[in-house]
Amino acid sequence: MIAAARSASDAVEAARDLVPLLRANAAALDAEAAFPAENLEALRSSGLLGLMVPVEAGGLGGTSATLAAVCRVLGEGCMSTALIYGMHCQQVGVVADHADDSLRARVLDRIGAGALYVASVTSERGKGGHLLTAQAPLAPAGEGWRLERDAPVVTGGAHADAFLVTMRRDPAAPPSEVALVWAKRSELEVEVTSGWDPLGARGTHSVGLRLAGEVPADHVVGDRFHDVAVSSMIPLGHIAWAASWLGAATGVYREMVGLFRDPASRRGFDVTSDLFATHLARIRMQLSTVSAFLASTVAAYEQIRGLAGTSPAPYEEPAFQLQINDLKVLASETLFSGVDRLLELSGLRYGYMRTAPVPLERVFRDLRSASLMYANERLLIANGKLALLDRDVTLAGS
Amino acid sequence: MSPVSKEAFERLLRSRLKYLDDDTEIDYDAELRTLGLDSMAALDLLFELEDEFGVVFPEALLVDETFSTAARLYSTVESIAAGTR
Repeated sequence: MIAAARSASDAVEAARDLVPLLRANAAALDAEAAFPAENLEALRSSGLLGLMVPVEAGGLGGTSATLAAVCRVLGEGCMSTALIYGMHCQQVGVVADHADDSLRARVLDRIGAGALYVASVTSERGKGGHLLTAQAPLAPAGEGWRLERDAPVVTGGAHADAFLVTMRRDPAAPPSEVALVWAKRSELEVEVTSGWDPLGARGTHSVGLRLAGEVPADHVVGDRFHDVAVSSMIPLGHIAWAASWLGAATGVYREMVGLFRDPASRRGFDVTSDLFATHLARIRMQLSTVSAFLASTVAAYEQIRGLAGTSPAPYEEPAFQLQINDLKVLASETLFSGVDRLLELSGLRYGYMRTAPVPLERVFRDLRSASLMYANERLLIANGKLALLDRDVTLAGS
Repeated sequence: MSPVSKEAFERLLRSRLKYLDDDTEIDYDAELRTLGLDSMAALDLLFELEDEFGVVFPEALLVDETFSTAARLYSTVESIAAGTR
């Protein structure tokens, strides 16, 4: 029996208790490209689904720092589960920060109790994965809104209890006027429109969905979606992703270092050679680089929150936007490269085999998804333009 | 009789002491650093000792003091070997 976390300071310990379960389930989830249903049940009873719910609403009152720490730990056990969890926390953080009091009062305590697992619906055919636009419109329906929405990729969507959905604000609005809508599964008809059989991150079960239903007026979260995105959704998302990836890479690195150190297994590796040393040094440096940049980004985000709450202006500063985007690009590229190098160093037997004692092969495939989940290319184009606006050159951490 | 052969210990140690002449005996109380055991060589020696004597140095003992003198290093290997038997 695993004790439920009661506060944000317990959260990392509660996550550590779950790692053996996640580790034990990871290979089967990967083989079947299945949703981690048992892991989610354990997360529900651990109290961790309420990490981002304020304490006064029955949650753990976590910050982006706690979120990063928990995702990192979970990522060591199963990267897919960490991503599912991280994206749930991202949605919950958005609701806690931006929803009307009436909606907050109805849903936050249930999230804190582990009753609601929330998925993100932002993808839409024909808009190229752009977060800040939407095509399908909300249509007025009585006192509330009707939504009909096709989404090609919804992580955990087939199992979610509720969704946050990006919609065009009304049928006459341009695609840039986005409303973020909270919808419970019970309010919707949910049809799974496509399967999921990818290279890696297979346990995220990111299927296509068609959603249709009506929601009350107060289910629209925030006045301007842009403000929600810059002050909560994007920072929390990039932090949770980077931390999950870092956890996964750190997990296999830790296990391989154990094998390199163990006299029984290290004979297979040339651990005293200079070549081995320089490779291992680089891998370790890559992990540290991401860890430090993640910590710096979390600190920058929490500093702005402390000063400005959710008012958007300080989050829109080029230096902060550059950093939050850099985090995603840097973590995805650096950690994949680091695990690729670790695979090379570990050789065929330990690095390349599905039956190897360390799941390097799986984590390598898992991390290949990192640059594609909200494509790096798009963030780099944005950052290239933002970089021209920051003539003072305010670098991360300075 | 110690399970840790002094002869084998000295053979491994000597090969890492680049400033020690082949015909000079190992002084068990001399600073190994001054005999040429830098931290890189210490790590190589560590692996060789672990392999030779079937021991694993706990992380807490992977400190400079363990490698300060031959006496200290030998007694450390002996105590780990005794503990793991």
